[in-house]
Amino acid sequence: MDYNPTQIIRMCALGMEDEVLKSRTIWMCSSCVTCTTRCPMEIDVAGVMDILKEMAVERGIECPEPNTKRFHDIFMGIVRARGRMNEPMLFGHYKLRTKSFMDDMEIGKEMMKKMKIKYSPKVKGHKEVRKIIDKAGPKI
Amino acid sequence: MTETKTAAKRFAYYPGCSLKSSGGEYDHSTRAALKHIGVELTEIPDWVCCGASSAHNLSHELALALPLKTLILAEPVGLDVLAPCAACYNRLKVAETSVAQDPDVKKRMEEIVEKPFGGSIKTVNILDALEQIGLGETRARVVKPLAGLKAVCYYGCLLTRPPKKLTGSDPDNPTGMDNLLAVLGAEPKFWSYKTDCCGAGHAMARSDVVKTLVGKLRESAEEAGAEAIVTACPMCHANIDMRQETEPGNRMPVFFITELMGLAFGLPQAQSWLKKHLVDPLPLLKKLNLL
Repeated sequence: MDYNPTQIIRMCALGMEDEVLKSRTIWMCSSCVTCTTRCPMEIDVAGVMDILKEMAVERGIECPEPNTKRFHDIFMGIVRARGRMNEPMLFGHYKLRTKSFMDDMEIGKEMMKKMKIKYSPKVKGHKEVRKIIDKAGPKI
Repeated sequence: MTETKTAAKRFAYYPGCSLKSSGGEYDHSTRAALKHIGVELTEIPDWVCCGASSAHNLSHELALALPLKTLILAEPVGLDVLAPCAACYNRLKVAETSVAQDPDVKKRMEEIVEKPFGGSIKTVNILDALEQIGLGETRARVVKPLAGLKAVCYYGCLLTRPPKKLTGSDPDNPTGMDNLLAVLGAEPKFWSYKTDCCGAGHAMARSDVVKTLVGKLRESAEEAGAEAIVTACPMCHANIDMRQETEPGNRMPVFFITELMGLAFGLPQAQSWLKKHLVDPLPLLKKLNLL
């Protein structure tokens, strides 16, 4: 996090688009929504973080947390194709795209041993999901 | 209080993608526990992804449209929707209240989904559902009270926030799970991390963040005098189960609340759920004579 959330909101109010949209902060936000819940000025801070991410992507700004962005893109790509998430595909694609096979090897092995990861089917209405994603964004 | 009234309660069931895969224990224990108290669950045919973390991270419209699609699919059956996964519950509930609170949002979402939503069904989480049915129905079926199990209830972020869009649990000190745990005979310990984030969706791309936050949760649970953590979210469960950094023999087990219901009800299949955990909870349960 390069700026704290209070700074991000103040920078928005001051029109500091460049700094805000290029920040790492907006991508480090875990959307726990504690900020929105507590803000005495009733600003939906978590909502603002989301919109800033959307704007940054729209403007083609390179994401300072590339693996985070890759994760979301892969996730939505699978949902767009199948209507639901498919964990084997998510983990497989993510590991390939980020070249991080060696990370989490132990956990991966345990999960396989216990047969925790299942292959989920394509949903009958997956074409409708594709239409929804294509209409509402993001561009995949 | 009459505890023998048959709670013929029915819900439309939305397991969500996690419960159909790595969160399988939560699905199985929820179905079994609810069946045991006389609740009928009908899985929504052809339900779709709720959007989880990635939808709202990339598109605020998609974040509402996707879960609304499932609510629209469920509406004709006319039953309230039970979503045990905290994230799915949150996405569905926020979509439901957003369109109810703002007609412009409703119009735009119906445009995207190309179908109308009548707003006649409500989304509930597992704690809401059990409260609606009446905790007496749960209490009446406890045959093996979880005596001696000191645990903290971990609600995480999504069961209670943002409060304006959800069903009213206190976002700072919710008590639904604590009450339920007490009904099961266990000892809920008070702690100040009930709703502190575990790192959530950062699990894959920034697991260092999750490890730090999970470390804080585990330390606080210990300080509170707990030997286990109880949760109602498959993401929180996975993070706590898989990202503790103490030595393998020294990790705190984490339960789904419905797994504990199954144990307290004496359901024979309860152990099969627990075997799926990475941090083995059986030694603790054996020590307390709860198996």
